[in-house]
Amino acid sequence: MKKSSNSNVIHKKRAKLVSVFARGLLDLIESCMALFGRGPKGLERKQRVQQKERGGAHLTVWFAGIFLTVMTLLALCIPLRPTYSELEQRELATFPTPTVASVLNGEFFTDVSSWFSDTFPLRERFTNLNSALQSNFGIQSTQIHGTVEQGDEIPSVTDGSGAVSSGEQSSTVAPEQSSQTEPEQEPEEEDSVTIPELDPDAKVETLGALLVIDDAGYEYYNFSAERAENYIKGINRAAELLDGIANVYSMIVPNSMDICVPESVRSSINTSDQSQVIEYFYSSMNDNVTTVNAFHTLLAHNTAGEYLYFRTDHHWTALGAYYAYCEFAAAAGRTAADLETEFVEHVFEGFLGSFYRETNSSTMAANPDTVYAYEPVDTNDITIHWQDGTVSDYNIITDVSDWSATSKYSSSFIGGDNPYSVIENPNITDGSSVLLIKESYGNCFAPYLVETYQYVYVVDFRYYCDTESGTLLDLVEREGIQDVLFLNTISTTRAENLITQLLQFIG
Amino acid sequence: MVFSDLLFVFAFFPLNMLFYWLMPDIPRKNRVLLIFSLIFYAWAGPMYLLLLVGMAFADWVVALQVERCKTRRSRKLVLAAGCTINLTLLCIFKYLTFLLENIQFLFGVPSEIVEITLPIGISFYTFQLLSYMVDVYRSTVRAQRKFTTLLLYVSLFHQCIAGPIVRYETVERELTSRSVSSDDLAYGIRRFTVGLAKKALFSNYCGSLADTFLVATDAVDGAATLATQPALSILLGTICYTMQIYLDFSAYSDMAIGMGRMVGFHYLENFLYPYQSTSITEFWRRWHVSLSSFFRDYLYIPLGGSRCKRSRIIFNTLVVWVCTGFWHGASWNYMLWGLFYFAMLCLEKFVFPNFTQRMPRAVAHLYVLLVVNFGWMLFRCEDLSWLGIELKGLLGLNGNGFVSYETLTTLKANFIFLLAAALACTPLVKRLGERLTDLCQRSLRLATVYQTVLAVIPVALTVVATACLVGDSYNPFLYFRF
Repeated sequence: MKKSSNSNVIHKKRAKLVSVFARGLLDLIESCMALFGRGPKGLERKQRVQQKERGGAHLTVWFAGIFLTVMTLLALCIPLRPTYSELEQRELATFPTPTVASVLNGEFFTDVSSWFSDTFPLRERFTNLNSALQSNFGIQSTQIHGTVEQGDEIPSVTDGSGAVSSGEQSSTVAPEQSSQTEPEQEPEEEDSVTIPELDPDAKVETLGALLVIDDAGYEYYNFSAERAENYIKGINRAAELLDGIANVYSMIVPNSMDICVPESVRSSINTSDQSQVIEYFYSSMNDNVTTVNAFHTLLAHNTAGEYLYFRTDHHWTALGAYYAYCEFAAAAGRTAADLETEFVEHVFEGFLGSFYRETNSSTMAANPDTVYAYEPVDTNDITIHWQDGTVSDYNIITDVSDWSATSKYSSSFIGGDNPYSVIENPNITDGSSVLLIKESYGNCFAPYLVETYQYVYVVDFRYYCDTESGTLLDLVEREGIQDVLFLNTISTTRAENLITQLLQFIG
Repeated sequence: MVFSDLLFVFAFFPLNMLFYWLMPDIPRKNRVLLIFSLIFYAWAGPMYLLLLVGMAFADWVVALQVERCKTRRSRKLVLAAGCTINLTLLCIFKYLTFLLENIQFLFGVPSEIVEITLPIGISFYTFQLLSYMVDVYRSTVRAQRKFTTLLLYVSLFHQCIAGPIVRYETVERELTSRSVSSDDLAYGIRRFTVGLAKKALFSNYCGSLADTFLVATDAVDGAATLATQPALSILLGTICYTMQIYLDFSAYSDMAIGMGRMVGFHYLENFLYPYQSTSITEFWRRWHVSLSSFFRDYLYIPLGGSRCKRSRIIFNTLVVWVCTGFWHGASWNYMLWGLFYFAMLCLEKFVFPNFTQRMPRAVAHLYVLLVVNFGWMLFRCEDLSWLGIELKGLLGLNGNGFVSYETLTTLKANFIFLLAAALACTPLVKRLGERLTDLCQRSLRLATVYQTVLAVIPVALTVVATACLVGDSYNPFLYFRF
């Protein structure tokens, strides 16, 4: 009883305090407005209201004037301008250098405008405000980012009699599209692969459309019959080149869309069935390619609640890669190394990947991913041929605890994406060797091979030809490699530029 | 440079206001405005500044000559010469490439076509100059003696590149004598920031939603992707585009009117909430008023207007709508868009006179929105094959059904925004503001609170607009075609 009356008193006191404070504030503003309004005192009420409005106009002008002055001064402080965006992982626009031509055609001025807004002071704060604003636009948190492209119809597996027939895959899209994109080398020999021109401006890796459910993103995958055919031709060609020299394995890894999204949701959305696509790919590959299907083991382990794909990034986790590695080891007739005894676990918290960068989602930022990395017990040494052409020793697993949130995946495994790397296990002496041909999905996969083979060679086909000489066959013959594994995410098989680079490396 | 560039908001405009404020008298203030206007115009390519200045100079001479001529006949001749210069230049820069493309398509010659970049704002300032010369000829206004004053009228950055088409008559007096009260300043600030937020937040985001639902017109294999969209997606896309184009266009007018008021110019309203019309005739009295009144006063009425035979009226209307169509861009879809409105207006005027007045208001509103929405579909598809795909898609004939998971998801994820954008197209917020002003006049204390909130709103709107514009690549300027 006493307690409640006590709290009542406190309440009243608080209310009184608030009202006194509010009155004080109002009086302050009123006196400000009277000051700016400069009206005579003791007028009629109506006149006083009008005078107040006059004062309000003054207040508006002063507020806006001060704000604009402050912002302008801030905007003109060149040293305050950021030069790099952590979120977008890119260098921001630089101030353009004028040339006679660019000044005359106005390009210089356009560039100045984009420099001004791209490097605006407090950039991150403003973009965060923008995404906070946008997160309130809807009545649900599920979102689609980007334009969803319609996938081609997946040819049924029984049709594919080993070799791929070109151009026949019926596309469900308008006929004029297929006539536009039809490869020019239509009536070619089955085994000859013409390498298309590489578009130097195209981004190496671009994300497709994203489905965002709460704090997790899933990338759409749309099957492209024409690109699939090019990819298959490339793998078949590699098998033919290496026939009798090395064993060729191919693994196409599904992305999280088909593994993690519940079937009830997935069946209603416009994304190609990856399990079916992988079956099609494998059935179209030659007999001398050993195909490794990781789809079902990933699905099973995901159902068991294991953490196989990042929510904020398009990659799989090292655990997902481990289950795929077990499938590969079985296919190659080797025993898979045990995750618990032959590897040391490292945990790097606070990872925000490409889905986060794409969406700038505050929900993701509040609930980042964790990178688990598995270091082989036998060695952590790797020799890397870097993208700039230099060669040096590095770590297979690097401690990225202190690295920026957005770079934790790309930096922790085998030094990121590099043209060519070699790992030697000092405790294995059987001379066994494997070549892993990969993009970034292979980074967290490579360390497991160290416990299975004496020599592990890793090639990132996107960069190999930039710094190294020769192609696949030269490398395999030079090093005497026994097993060659093509490991790609399914997204790679519909990325024109990546396939072109792969074909270039295969030669 | 456009008003929604951060460079404009946080460098160009404040510097302009600072220098303007420092100058003691109108002639020197005008000099500041002129210099800033020329810089503003040159930003899109300094070469075209020559064209602007040259045309203004030619028309300055023409107008003076018109006034000097004694006989009606010679006045007419000089005016005709002036109009010919303007229209020829407009045609060369805006329509020559298009014309040659069509000739090439029909006859196979010429084999190569010169690519002419459209000088930004040429349609707006040519029309301003035309109205000026004709008004001098009609003795509605005196010819301007000082070239720099006329040049200021034409090139003033408030309205030079995206309208409204301000008549010389409207600003004649204010060009040489004008004053600014603190009410003017406050009104200008509010109007400008409302326009800025309308553009940066509402219009740009509506545009990106339209591109999501309807596929961006410059997307790779866009037509193929469009053909896979379900009916609801296409419907929502056209609605988003309808909102985008109003919000964008009226935002530029808001900003122009606001900036004008801040230095003492009173431009006329350009958009009177067109989407609340109940007939197409009313829609065109509310949409881009400065353009439709231009065509009315300088084309329709000189042709005979409505005081002649019915067949002649129809012909006059046709001419006006062909011109309106082509004014919006050198492409057949704009022409079709103009003809579409010609047909709709004839329907309302001659076939079923006043039929919208007999409908319940809600039905009439819906009718106008449907017609306008269809009009904007024509307007958006420069490639007419897209229109066919969209129409088929709307009827569900592309075989994609009515809804898809993606469409529903995007709709739900933007539902509140879409409602807000729809409200922003109506006068509701403005009416609410007026009601509040009345309400708050009842008490001094309420008035204080209200005035303080009113003073904070422009700052808040600018912060939000800045957040939308920083690092955001999607900030289209829709009027490069005009």
